[in-house]
Amino acid sequence: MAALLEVTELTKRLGNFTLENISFSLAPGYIMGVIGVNGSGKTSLLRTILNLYQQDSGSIRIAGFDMNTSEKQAKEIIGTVLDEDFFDETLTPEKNAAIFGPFYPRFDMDIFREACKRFEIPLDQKVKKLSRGIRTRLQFAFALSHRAKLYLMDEPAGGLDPRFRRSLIGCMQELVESGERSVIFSTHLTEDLDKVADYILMLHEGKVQFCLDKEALCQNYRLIRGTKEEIESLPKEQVAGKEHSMYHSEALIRTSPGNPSGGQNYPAPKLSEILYYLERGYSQCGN
Amino acid sequence: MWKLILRRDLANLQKNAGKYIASITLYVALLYIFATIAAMSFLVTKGIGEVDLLNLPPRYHDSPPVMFWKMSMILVSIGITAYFIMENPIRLPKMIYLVPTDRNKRSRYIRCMFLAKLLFMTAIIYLFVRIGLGRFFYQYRIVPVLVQLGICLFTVWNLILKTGVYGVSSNNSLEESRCRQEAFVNFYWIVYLLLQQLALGGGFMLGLYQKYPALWLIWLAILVSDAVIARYCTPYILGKAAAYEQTYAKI
Repeated sequence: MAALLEVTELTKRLGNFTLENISFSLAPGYIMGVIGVNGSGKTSLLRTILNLYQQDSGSIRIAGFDMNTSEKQAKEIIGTVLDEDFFDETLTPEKNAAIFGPFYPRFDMDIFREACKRFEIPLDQKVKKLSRGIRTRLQFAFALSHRAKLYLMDEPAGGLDPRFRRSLIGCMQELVESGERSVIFSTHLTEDLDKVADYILMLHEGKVQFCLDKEALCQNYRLIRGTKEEIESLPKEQVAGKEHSMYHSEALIRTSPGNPSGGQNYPAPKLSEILYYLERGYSQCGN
Repeated sequence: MWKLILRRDLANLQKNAGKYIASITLYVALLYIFATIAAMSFLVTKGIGEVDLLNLPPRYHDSPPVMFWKMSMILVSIGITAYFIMENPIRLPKMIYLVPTDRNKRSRYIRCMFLAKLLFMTAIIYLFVRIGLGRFFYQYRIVPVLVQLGICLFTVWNLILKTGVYGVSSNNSLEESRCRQEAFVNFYWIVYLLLQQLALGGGFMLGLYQKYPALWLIWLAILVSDAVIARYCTPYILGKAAAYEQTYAKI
């Protein structure tokens, strides 16, 4: 199936930071979570995909439309939920929708009103008076109203209370159910990834560390607990990340076929544990 | 879309109303100070004590004190307008970068905004001087009018571009070579334009154009040079102003 989002060897320099050779794709019907420590390039990646930041090299294709040559057509199918306010703050949500909605050929004001009702967004209050959580919901309602196919979300759960966070996760699942739409979202909340993500893209210092489906990721690693000596005796190339505490030590090890210790005997770690150790491992190695 | 831009500018106007009132008060105060200086010059040079600068006999219209008063107030008007321009840089609404538009459309929007602001701000300077001094132009003959208007227009042009220089400079070597346009707008061109304002007013004060009418040819050449500089700097800086990365991004 043709990818809805295809990023190929994307490079973008931003001051001292560089997104380097980023390549991945996302087919319709799937949810991809983008993770990484602060400053790893998650927001920059999403903004470069949206052409807010001009790419230096590489290509971004949305449903086959190149972002450089067919930006308008590409953006017609993108819905966004970003961590910054893009709506005009001096206007109400309804007026914003009335001004910016017509830019989208499939925009429907009734869907917008319905979505606002569902997400409990007051239509008659100026955007500047809305809380951060409601502004996030407003962006989501707007994305739904123009029948976006690819949803790009930057930390969407950040300002949401637990009830709406849960609702958002439910909405993401609903969106991809038909197999026509996809969601790519950045997050620090591994719990959300556990619930909805089909693929996980990990960034570290602007580079892709891996882009794997969740099942493969969990199968590729095992968590070993033991004494400090036992953990230190593990082959270095096998250890993805480790931690020593006063009472016990832990290490996340790779379980590739050539792995001599046959880590498969150990229980599979949780996603949150994998991500914790991988991020820790990258920081310790400095790569 | 245009309604939104207009609305945003009106909201800014409302928000900064206090500053604008203060600026107008400053203008009126300076008008009186320079009028007093001009009146004192009349007393010293012509021995005329009571002078109504707005209703002088025609023979005094080109006299040095009147020309000095006019030049000072034109410069003050430009200074105050420059402040208005700096307070409201040309920027597209953020949402325009997310909705389905391409670079060409965004550039078109920013060019239209630039043009509208250029005409509006030039009109403001004209109104300031016209209301304060009774007339805007040093002389009502076609070439002096053209030169004065041209310098005024290019000065506003420069100021709008100056506020259009945003964001961080890229590390790209091509971009760095293009930063010359910014250096031109930020320093060389504005200094050149201010010198032109002083030289034009000074020329009238000293009566040079009556003695040497050929000087107007030099002024026309200077205007052409301004047009060349504007042509050199404008596309790059407006291109920058139309890019989200250069206007809103905090890198």
